[in-house]
Amino acid sequence: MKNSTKLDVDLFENLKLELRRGCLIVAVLAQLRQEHYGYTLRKALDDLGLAIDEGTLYPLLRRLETQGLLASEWREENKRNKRFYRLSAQGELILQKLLEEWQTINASLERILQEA
Amino acid sequence: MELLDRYLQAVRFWLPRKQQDDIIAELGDDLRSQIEERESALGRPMNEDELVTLLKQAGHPLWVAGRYQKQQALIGPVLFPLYSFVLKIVALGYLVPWLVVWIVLTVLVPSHRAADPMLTLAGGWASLCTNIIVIFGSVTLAFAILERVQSAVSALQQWDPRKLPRPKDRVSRVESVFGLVFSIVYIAWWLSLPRYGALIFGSIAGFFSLNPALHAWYLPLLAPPSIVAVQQCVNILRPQWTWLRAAAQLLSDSIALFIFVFLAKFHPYLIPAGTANLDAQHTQALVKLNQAISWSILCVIIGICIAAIVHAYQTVRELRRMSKGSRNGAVMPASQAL
Repeated sequence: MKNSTKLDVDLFENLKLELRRGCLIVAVLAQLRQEHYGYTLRKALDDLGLAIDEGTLYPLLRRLETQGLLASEWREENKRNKRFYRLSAQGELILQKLLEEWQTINASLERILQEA
Repeated sequence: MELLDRYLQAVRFWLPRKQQDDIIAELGDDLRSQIEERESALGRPMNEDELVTLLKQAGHPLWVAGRYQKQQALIGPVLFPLYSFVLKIVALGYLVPWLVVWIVLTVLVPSHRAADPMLTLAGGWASLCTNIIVIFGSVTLAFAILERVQSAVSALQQWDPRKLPRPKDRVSRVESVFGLVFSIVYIAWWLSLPRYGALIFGSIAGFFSLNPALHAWYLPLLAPPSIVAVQQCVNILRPQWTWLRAAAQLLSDSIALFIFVFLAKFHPYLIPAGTANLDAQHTQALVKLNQAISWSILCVIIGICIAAIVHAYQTVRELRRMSKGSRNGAVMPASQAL
C-alpha cells in the first residue's frame, strides 16, 4: 500500500514535470519581453505563481540563448556583475507562434474536458 | 560565505571547462541574492544551518552541473529500441551458441575439461563473463558513436511504409512447397543409400564398412525429415498454423539429438570391410576417417542443440500468441486455434 502510494506520487511528479516543461519555456520567453537577470526573472515568475528553481532556469536560459531566442549581456548592478536577458527578434516570432499553439491546445482541452 | 564558495567550487568541477566562469558567476550571483534577501527579512546574518538548507534546496553540485551538459544519455530514445534489439540478437546469436558449444565440449570431450569440475565451471564462467563484457561494451560503443554522428536519425526520416515486412501470421506456401521438395529429395537419397552406397562412397566402399551396431539407427534417422515433410504438407493446406512449423521442427530436433547422442557412442563408426586385411596406408586412413566422423557428429549435436533452443523459443512465442489471440477473441481465426 505504502509502495503504491509512493509510485503514485512519483508518477504524478514525472507527469507534472512533462506538463510543466513546455509551459516554462513559454512563460520564460513571455516574461523576457522585459529585460531581467536570472534572479529577478525567477522572482517575477514566482510572484505570478510559476515557481522555477535555479537548477532548471539557468540551463534553460542558456539553451534558449544558444537557439537564438534570447540575447544577453553582462552589466554591473548594485556593485555586482549580472547577466541580463531579453527576448530577441526571432524569440518574439517564435513566442507568437507558441502562444497561438498553446491557445489552440487549451481550447481543445477545454472542449474535451466539457464533454468528458 | 565559506560554505557558498565550497558549493560553487564543487559545481565548477563538473561543468564544461569553457563555460565554468560564466555559469559560476551567474549561479553565484543568484545564490548571493537569495542570501541577501533572507538576511534582510531576518534582520541578521544567516547561520550555518540556514545556509546549509538553502544550498541543499539548490541541489547537489553534480545534479546542478549535470543540467548544463548538452548530452545526457549515452544512447538516446530514438536509437535505444534498435540498441536493445541488437543486444538481444547478439545474446541469442552468439552467447547462447557459445554456451551450448562449451557445455557439449565439456561433457563429451574429456580433454576440454579440467580434473576438478569446479575449476572447469570457474573457467567457463570467466570466459562467459569476458564474452558478455566485450560484446556488451562493443555494441554500446558502436551505438554511442552512432548517437553522436546522428546518421541513423536521418536514415529514420527517409523510409517507405511499403518496404516494411508483412505480419508473420502465416507460413508462406512457396516456402512450404520448396521445403517439401527438398525433404522428399533428402528422404529418397537416404532410402537409396543401401542400394547405391558403393556409388556414393566410391573406392573406399570395398575397404571399409559401417559398424553393424549403426544399422539399427538407419530407419529412425528418417523420422526427423519425415516429421518436417508432414508439417510442410499441412502448412501448404493450412498456412495460418504458424505454431505447427516451430513445434514440428522442435520435435524433429529433439529426435535427431537423441539419435546422434546415441550414435556418438558407437566408435569406431567405420571398420574394415569383410575379412579384408588393411595395409598401413588404409589403416591410417580408417583412423582419420573415424576421427573426422567423430568430430562431425559433435558439430551436428552442437548445431541441433542451437536449432532446438531457437525452435523452442519460437514454439513458446507462437503458443503464447495463439493463447493471447484466443483470449482477445477476434485477433486469431478459429481455424488457427484448432
